[in-house]
Amino acid sequence: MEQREAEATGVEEAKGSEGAGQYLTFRVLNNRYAIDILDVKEIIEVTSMTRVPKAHASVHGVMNLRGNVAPVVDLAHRLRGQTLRFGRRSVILVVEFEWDGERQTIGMLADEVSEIVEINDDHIQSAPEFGAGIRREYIDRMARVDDAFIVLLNLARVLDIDELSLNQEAKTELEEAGV
Amino acid sequence: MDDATQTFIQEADELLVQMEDALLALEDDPGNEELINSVFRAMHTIKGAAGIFGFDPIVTFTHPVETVLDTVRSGARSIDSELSALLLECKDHTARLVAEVTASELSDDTLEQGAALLHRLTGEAPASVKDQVEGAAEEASGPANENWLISLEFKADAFRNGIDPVSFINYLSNMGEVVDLVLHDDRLPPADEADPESCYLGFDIVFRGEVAKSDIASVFEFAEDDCDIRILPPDDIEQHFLELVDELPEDHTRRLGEMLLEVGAITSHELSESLQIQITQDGTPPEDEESEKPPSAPVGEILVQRKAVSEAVVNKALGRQAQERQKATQEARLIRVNSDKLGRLINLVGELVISNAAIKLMTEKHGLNDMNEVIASAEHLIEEIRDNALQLRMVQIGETFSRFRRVVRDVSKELDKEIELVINGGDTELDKTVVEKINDPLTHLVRNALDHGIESPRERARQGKPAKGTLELNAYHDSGHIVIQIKDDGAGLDKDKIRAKAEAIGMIKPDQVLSDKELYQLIFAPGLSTKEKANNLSGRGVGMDVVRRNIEALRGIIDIDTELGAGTTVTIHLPLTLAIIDGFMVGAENERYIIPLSMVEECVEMDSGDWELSEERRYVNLRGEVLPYLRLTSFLEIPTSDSARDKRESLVIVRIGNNKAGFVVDELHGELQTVIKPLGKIFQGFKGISGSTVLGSGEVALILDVQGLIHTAMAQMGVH
Repeated sequence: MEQREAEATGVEEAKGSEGAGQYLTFRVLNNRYAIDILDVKEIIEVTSMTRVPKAHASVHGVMNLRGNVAPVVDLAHRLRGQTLRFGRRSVILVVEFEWDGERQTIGMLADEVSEIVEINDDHIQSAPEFGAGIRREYIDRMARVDDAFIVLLNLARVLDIDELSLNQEAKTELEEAGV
Repeated sequence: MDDATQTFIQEADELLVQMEDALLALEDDPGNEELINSVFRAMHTIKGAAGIFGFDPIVTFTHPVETVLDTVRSGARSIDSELSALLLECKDHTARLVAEVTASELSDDTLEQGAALLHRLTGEAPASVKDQVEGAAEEASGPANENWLISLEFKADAFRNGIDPVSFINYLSNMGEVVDLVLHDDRLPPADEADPESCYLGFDIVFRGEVAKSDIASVFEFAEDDCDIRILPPDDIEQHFLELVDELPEDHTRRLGEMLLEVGAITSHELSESLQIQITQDGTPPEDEESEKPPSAPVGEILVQRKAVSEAVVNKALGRQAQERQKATQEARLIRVNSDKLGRLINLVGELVISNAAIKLMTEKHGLNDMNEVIASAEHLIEEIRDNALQLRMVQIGETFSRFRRVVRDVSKELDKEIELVINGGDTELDKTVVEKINDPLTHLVRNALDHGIESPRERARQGKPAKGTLELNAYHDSGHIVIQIKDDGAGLDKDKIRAKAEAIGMIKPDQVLSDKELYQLIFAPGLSTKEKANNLSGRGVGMDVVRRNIEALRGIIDIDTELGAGTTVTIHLPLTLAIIDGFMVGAENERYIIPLSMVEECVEMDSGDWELSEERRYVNLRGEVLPYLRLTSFLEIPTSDSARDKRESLVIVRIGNNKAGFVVDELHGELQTVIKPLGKIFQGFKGISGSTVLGSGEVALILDVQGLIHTAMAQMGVH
């Protein structure tokens, strides 16, 4: 079995990147997740962050990223509803993506980065309806790595700006307005 | 091909490109006078220049086109797609003429085509090409009933040198008609003293002919050495010279003689002769006739003395010269810079401000008192660099305001109203980015004022107001902000109408108590328009909310003041710049916030004993004034530390427009230069924070949006 997998990987490498992609795997509250390596701009150690009043509960604050200010999302809260406890290996994954025509740079707090893995397309399958422990919409697909399944996160949903920009304030205002 | 011809070709090319652009633009905007003028100018200037160069076929062709354009300009003919297409053809044909004539390769084919084109343009039968050339020559040198005055003073040696005055005069009569001739024999000595081989004669000739001055001069070319020749143009040709001087292409290095020569007011012989005189007077060669020394008369004066040219023409040319030099110096003082480069500079200055703050922090931390002085001077310099860098982006608002002249004119015509636009403070400067973003909301407000605000002349007369309405655009600085006012003397807002409408769409409850100001603010809400019928200008109820959003996106505020029947004033307060501000840092518990310094009025100690503070009453008595306040710690939900030590709180009093409020804080950290960093869309939900900045320590501090905070607080109090 292991041998067959190794062979398959070898074939993929020969074919180039078409059928396989590189993913960064990391740990949040003892679960492994992965995102496409191309989405990751950099990985930095936890730096001082400033709380932003009345921001979304999953937004930990803002940090100084070489002179620019970027928000930091607490993945533990976002995915599992728990506040992250900083550890020795806590990191911030800085991702960059396009939103509404503007480039957004956002940091994501994780417990630990594991490794970069190459995942063959054959080993990727669609997400189960339930049982992954996080909201179905956050899961892009599932990948099998070393006989274990890891969740490939759907960054567009996890970092949905429209949703994250809704704070308690805005919610109450909307309620007042009777929406 | 000489330089002058090259210049002509180049200029003609440019003008033709302009003409084409204008014609194409006219298809979208057929009534645009500026565009029509531009087309007219192109033809007119090419015609004039071609006339100077003697490129008659070009003159012949462009003249009728110009005439047609003149009828368009005067409104007698309008530009439709057919005429526009024809004019484009004319433009192409002119380009072809210019190319062929300047290369001396004019083909009959081209002339035929030109005649045919003119026929289609003017609807007149094509005259023979030759006739037209003649007709144009007549046009170029003025009506034929005006006479040239030619004065000839032959020198004594004329006969000896083989000059026969009579033959010249005969030759002259080939070019036109010698209307009158006066013989001056006053120099003729008594017969016994006279040398029969010497010439003592002078002639004044009144000559009529369709010729240029240079043509006449060429007649006497051989006699130049033996005769003083003065050619005075007919009055209207003189007028023509004056016009030509006006039309000379811009070139600030041109000398007076060259200018006069170019328009044909003097001949090159006259010029070189005068320059020669100047040299003799001066004793030094005049390398530059403008810089000659006092003893020698300016070349213009010499020319006038010698009656080569009238004083009026010289003065005109001198005026033009001075004007161009002035313009050239002004232009030389301006440099066009890509705004991206400026943006980068300002970003770098921002980084410099931050790193200087870091240095300051470090020296304070390590107690390096020796460094205080150098750091202070560096800080001072950086502050100046910052101000200068920001100043680079400042532009006057006048240009934006002026654009509304057209809007006002068009709209008042369309609505049949009489409206005068008054602009005050057009020289007030503000950041270019702000100017760009203010244009749309301003347009909307102006259109609103024109449409909803100012009444029809009849209605105004009925109310005893002057028939002509006034719209004022004002701009001025007010404590670090720029204030823009759109003020009309129209109908004003009807409170009851607004209220009724707001109740009708369920925006407010019938029993809700609102101040006038709050009521007026309702018109910024989406979906509220009191105009019963929408027209194509405004009144659809969209727009005012967009205006407010645009203004607030610029960290500005918008206010309405109105009186029914007397008019409406919309006041916009805007920050001067969007990049770097002076901030005032305060601390609440362990967090630090920055308030724009321009909004801080004063700081006082929070004395709870005097003010009988309670949780119910959220205002204090500040020297007899009621001042609402909010506590940052609780309002921003700042986690409180458990240490229940007795804190000394301070009250920071802020002002926006005419409103004042107080913020209760724990610490005052003082002023600092704040480089504004946008916070990103993720935080757009909360209105109390307008941005962030990086402190010297590398930490991020948030900038409070005073207006937003107060709004949020008011909304909350309304609920509780």
